[in-house]
Amino acid sequence: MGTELMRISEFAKEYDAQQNGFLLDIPSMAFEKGSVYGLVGPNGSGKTTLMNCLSLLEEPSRGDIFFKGEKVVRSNMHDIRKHLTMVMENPYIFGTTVFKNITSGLRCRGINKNTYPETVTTVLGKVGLGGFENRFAPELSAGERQRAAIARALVLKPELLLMDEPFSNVDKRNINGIENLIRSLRKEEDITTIFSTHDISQAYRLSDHVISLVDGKIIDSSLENLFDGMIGDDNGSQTAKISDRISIAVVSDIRGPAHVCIPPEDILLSFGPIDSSARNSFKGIVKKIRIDRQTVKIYTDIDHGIELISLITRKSFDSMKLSVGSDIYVIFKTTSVNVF
Amino acid sequence: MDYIFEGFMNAVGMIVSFDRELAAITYISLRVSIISTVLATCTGVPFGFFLALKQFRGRGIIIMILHTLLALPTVLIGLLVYSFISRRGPLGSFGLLYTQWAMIIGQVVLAFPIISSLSLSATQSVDSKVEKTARTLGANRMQTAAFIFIEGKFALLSAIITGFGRVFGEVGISMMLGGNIRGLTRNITTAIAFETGKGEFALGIALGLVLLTVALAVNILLYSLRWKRG
Repeated sequence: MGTELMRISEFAKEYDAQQNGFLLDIPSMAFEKGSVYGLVGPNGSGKTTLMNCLSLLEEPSRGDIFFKGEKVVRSNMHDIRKHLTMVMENPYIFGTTVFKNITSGLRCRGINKNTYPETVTTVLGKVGLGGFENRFAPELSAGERQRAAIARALVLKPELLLMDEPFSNVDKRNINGIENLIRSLRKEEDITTIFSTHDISQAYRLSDHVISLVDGKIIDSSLENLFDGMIGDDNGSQTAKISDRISIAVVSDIRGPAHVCIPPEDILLSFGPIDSSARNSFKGIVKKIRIDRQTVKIYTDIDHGIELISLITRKSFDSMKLSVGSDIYVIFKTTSVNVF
Repeated sequence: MDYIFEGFMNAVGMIVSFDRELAAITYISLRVSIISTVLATCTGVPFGFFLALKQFRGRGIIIMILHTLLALPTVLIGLLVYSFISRRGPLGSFGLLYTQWAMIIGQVVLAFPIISSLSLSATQSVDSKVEKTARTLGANRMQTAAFIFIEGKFALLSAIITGFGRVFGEVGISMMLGGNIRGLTRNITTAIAFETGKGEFALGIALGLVLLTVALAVNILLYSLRWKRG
């Protein structure tokens, strides 16, 4: 257990109250010093609102935020904000040179100008923008702008770095660059990083802890294989209907609309139907295969676009000789399905 | 038609030979308009900036009044200021009437609504992310305002240039408050009116050409700024 940097407690944030009264509701969450956190969740789950609150740009409607044990209140908010920073989604780049963009936060802090050139050169090298000092920043590509914004944040040596969707609107080459940057941040003990992303596997690849957020609530489950369903009774057993043809057997107290989620590691693959205690078995076609070092992710289409991801070992994958287009059965237990 | 051609040729001659009277009139015009623009900028830009960033009761009414004042005719401003600074007026003891300062006061009244309302729009057009970004970088309130100001600088400059263009070309205020006194308050526009009345076309046309040249220069500056922005 590392040192706690930030903690939120009995936290709630209402927004769009007139439209749908959405509530971000987190009883308790702590961020450790030096760790990297990946925040995942579908659109509208409250990721940006949570990031805004953690960066002290927005105040919670209820509850408290503690930074290094100190409760954040209006009187100390500005001082605490100097220990953290956030790179927003599609960050704003000031209409000046890259150099002046990078030093803008340093100027706010009244840091000696003589140190700027060396500091800027170092941080630009870190984000892969070496030699960009005198470029007119708004003319950079989206990926370069994103990296310049990260450099503008890193140069402040924050104890907490928040990045809201740092991979959105960024091309493949820049995605790799930013991913490598986050990997390098993981090695730094003095900086805690929280980034939000849509890509769950990316969150798992890059972070020490993954936080899944759905409808403003932290859920204790991976968000892969997440579906919206209608919970009802089908011949005496409980099911979640996720499409016209697909109903998943579940166990839950919830009735009506709900989210269902099946952890990829709990899904078995078989070339034929098997006789087992697992009550969920669907035939599908392998659509995509993603091979990692030790594990392989198999994306199986079970009903016109409904895709189930299963995680198997490299060894199983090699012995099954699976390929894209293979017919396959996906099988999982009722108790493996999380309903919330 | 000959007199127009002759007047035009004489006017060109006066400009080329740097005619002393022409130079004196142009100097007065530039001096008065520059001072009034600077004063209107010092008050109008912060006022527009404040209106854009602060929400308070009565803000909408102030903006509405400001927009209404954009349509204020110069003769009405002349009348208003005259009533204050004429000998019988509340500021009569200062002896301002028929001085350059009287013209400056009138022109500030003319330029203030233009500069402040355009500054208001300029500030409002700055991306809302600027404020947020500044705060994430640890900026305090004043520093955040400075970031917004810098990001809107080209639009704010346009506002100032537009204000200058308006006061430089106005005639009503200068005539009513300056009195068109030769060598003291006679500026380009009042001189054109006066010389034309006398039938002295050459000086009138020469002054007109100078006025147009300054207006053109101002517009070139304005367009180059807009181009830079875009």
